[in-house]
Amino acid sequence: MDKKILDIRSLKKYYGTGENITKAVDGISFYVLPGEFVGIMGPSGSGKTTLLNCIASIIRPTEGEIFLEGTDIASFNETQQMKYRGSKMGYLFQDFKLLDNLTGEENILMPAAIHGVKMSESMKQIRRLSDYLGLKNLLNKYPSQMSGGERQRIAAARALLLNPSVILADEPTGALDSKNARTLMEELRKLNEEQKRTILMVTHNPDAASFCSRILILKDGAIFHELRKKQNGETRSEFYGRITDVMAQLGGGGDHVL
Amino acid sequence: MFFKLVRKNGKKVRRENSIFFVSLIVAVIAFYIFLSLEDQDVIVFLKSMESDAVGKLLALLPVFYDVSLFLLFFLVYFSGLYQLERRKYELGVYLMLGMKRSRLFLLLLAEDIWNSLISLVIGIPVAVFFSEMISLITSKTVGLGIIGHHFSFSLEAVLLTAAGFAGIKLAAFAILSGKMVHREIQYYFQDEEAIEQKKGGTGSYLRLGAGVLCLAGAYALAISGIAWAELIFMGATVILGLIGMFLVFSGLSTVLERFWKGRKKGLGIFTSRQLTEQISIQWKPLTVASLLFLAAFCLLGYGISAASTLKSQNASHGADFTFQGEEADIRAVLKKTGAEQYLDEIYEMRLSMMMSDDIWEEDYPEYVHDFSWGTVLESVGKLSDQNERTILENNLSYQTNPYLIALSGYNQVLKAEGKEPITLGKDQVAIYKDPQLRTSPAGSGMKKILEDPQEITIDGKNYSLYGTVCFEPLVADRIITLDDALIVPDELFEQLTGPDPESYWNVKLKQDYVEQEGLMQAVYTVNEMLKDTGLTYESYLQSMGRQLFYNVASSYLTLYLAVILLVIANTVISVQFLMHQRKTGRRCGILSLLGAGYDMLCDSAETQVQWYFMVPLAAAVVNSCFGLPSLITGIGTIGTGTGFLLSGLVVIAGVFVIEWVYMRAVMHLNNRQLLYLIRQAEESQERL
Repeated sequence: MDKKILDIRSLKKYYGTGENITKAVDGISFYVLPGEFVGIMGPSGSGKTTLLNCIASIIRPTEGEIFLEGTDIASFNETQQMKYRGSKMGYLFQDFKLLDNLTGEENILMPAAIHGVKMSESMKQIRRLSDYLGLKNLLNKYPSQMSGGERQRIAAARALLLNPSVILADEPTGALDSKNARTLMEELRKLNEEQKRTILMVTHNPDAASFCSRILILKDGAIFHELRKKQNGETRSEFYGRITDVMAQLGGGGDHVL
Repeated sequence: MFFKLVRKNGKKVRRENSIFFVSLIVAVIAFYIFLSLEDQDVIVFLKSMESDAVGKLLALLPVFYDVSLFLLFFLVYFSGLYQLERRKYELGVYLMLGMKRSRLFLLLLAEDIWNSLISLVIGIPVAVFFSEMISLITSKTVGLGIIGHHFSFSLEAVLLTAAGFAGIKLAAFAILSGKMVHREIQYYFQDEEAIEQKKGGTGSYLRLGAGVLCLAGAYALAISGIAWAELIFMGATVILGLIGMFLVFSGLSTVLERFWKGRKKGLGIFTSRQLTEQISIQWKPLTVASLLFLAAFCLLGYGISAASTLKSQNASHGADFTFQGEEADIRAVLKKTGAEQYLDEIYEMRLSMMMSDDIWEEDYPEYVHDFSWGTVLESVGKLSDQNERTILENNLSYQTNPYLIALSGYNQVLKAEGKEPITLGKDQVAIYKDPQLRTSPAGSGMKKILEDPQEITIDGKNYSLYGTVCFEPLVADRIITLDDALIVPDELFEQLTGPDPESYWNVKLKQDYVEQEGLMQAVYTVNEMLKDTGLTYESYLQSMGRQLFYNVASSYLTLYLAVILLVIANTVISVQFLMHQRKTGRRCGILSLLGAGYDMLCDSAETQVQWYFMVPLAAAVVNSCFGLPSLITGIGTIGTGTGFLLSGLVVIAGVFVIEWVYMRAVMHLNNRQLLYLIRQAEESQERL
């Protein structure tokens, strides 16, 4: 129990009432261990983004518990949620969500400013991240002067600035071309393997998902299947093959065929 | 369905756009009060006294009407622009559903007409009430009393107000819908337009420096008074000022960015970036708003100081009526008409010109006297104030035949005013100056000179000068007065004057009658008794009426324009601010996702509102520190001393309250918009 960094128990998110009820997330339970790189996949409307948004405290679940390092964050009030956002959790969004009137450096610094972290400490951290993610030439540029990949690297640095317990990534490669998407995924893997960062990523892209160590596949708001990368040296392309197989069966409508 | 939609949308617009709805009502009120000027008690009264001047003023009203409409057009245009921007999505949906653009235009126009009707329905009764209050207060202040008050409702003013507003609304809508017609439907669904980030460089500093230099030049011209010397200098001052303001505002964001650089706590960086971005993009409307503020401050200052001098009409004076003619005839008429019972004893005021020029020698050689200013001229040359020195040297150089006033008459004036009479020795004379010159350089310079003993020479004999300048008005009508004269003992007066000294017969109203009726009414009643008797006379009423007319006219017009300008300037700023916030609203959604709470975002937005209003206001305050004194010295001193200071404080307090109300309203609107944007950001995240 102590080792679980994230523990989701019977999480439900319903919209509407009576006959019009939509069960976006319907009783999902799972956990994430420190240093895991977990992917969430599923067809459109399967509830993957709703699940991520519940964990990110962007939306409040209807029922269930979300334990982050042992604290139930689902019961937080708005002020507690605000403290938690951006500091305990780092976010990577599909559309980067950078502030276009701030430079790269100022964008990265924003969570520190919001959460009242000392500037000197944040500047040290920026230097470390800058070296690690190769941001040196981007710090004084505005987002409009950067490529999509560069913007996502700035967004990654922003997500990592306050050393969050978990990084939540929502289709981080969605707005990138294949080359930039690959580079970003390599960087996320490096962060996961070298710095032991815990990452929870929603994606519909099997190639991006193949960088994960474990994949939860959702359907109709519930966990339909779970894929783990084999410990005995399974290559990424082999894992990719297994992912596409499952997705193909999912698309074909064969329930629990595996 | 169409009308239901119009009413529903109209209500929504009024609620969500209360700031502009209230501005519109204020504009309606100001407009009606201004247009119903003709029916105000004071103007009705003044018409009977100064019909020509009032007629000229009323003939000017159409010009003011057009100018006001032109200015109000901007209020309507900017609030319309904001409305369209705010409702972009909704309008896009109408178009997507197949509504024709012409029908959409009709819908918007109908909503606007509906809201305008409501603003008229609210505004006109409030305006009538204010108009009546102003009429009553002005009447009471100037001493008309409430006896002559009558309720007035000007249908013409209502119709002109309604027609004017309808006209500008249509014009503004024609332009706005013209813009709208050419937009692709996609435009209505775009969240925001990309805003190019500008980096200020040395160019900004150069512009700022050049602007400061231009402004310094304009200030120097205004304060030194050179601006008022000739039209070309006035033109140069205005042009330098305008160029200076535009240049300063174009480079201002760079300086402010440096100023705010250290603010990194909380949303400090974001707040300062929002502000500098907004100022760097919107420097032109901000400059215009600042200039409007400047004009409003100057007009307010001038108008309130003019209004504050209305009271001084009851200032001490030695005569309510001044007659010309034989004493016996005058007494007979006063007795016959019954006016006598309201009047004190009449007294004589004798005046004559000393004949000291060669031109008189041929006709009256026996009355010609030698006159020189003796030690006075020398003392004038020693005055340290250059202005006083130049004016007095100029004045004295052509006064070789001064007017003489008999001491007894002047002392009677002092007695009638309840003041101590002056005593002159046998060889002593006093200097008299027009009461209006009391605070002028000529008056103050002469007072300084008389602090030391001075002598003048008449026919080779030295006469010492009385130690102070005499300033009391000699006759009832203040306009008919002497700039300079000598008060001399009666014996000397007889020696020095020609064959026919002028005699004026002054009389004051009985004090108890004035207390009972009020000065204005009392003079008016006696005037009515005397006006058809054939007597030649002037009354204090004419003096008062004339002065009152100038003050009422200038205070009314300037205050009216000031209110309109303030409303427009504030509307321009509010609209610009809210539109920019709307365009950049997505940023607040991102900050919210990063953990910035609603309160934190509101704090940031409120700081932005304060600064955004403060920048043009501060510039206008600095400008008006130079502009207002220049305006008052240039047009004429109508308020001085404590009265003026007080009116200045009233202006500052009034503007402070108005600005505070506007800022609060913008903050309130913006906070509501913020909440909506945060929810929208969360929902859009949820939709994915």
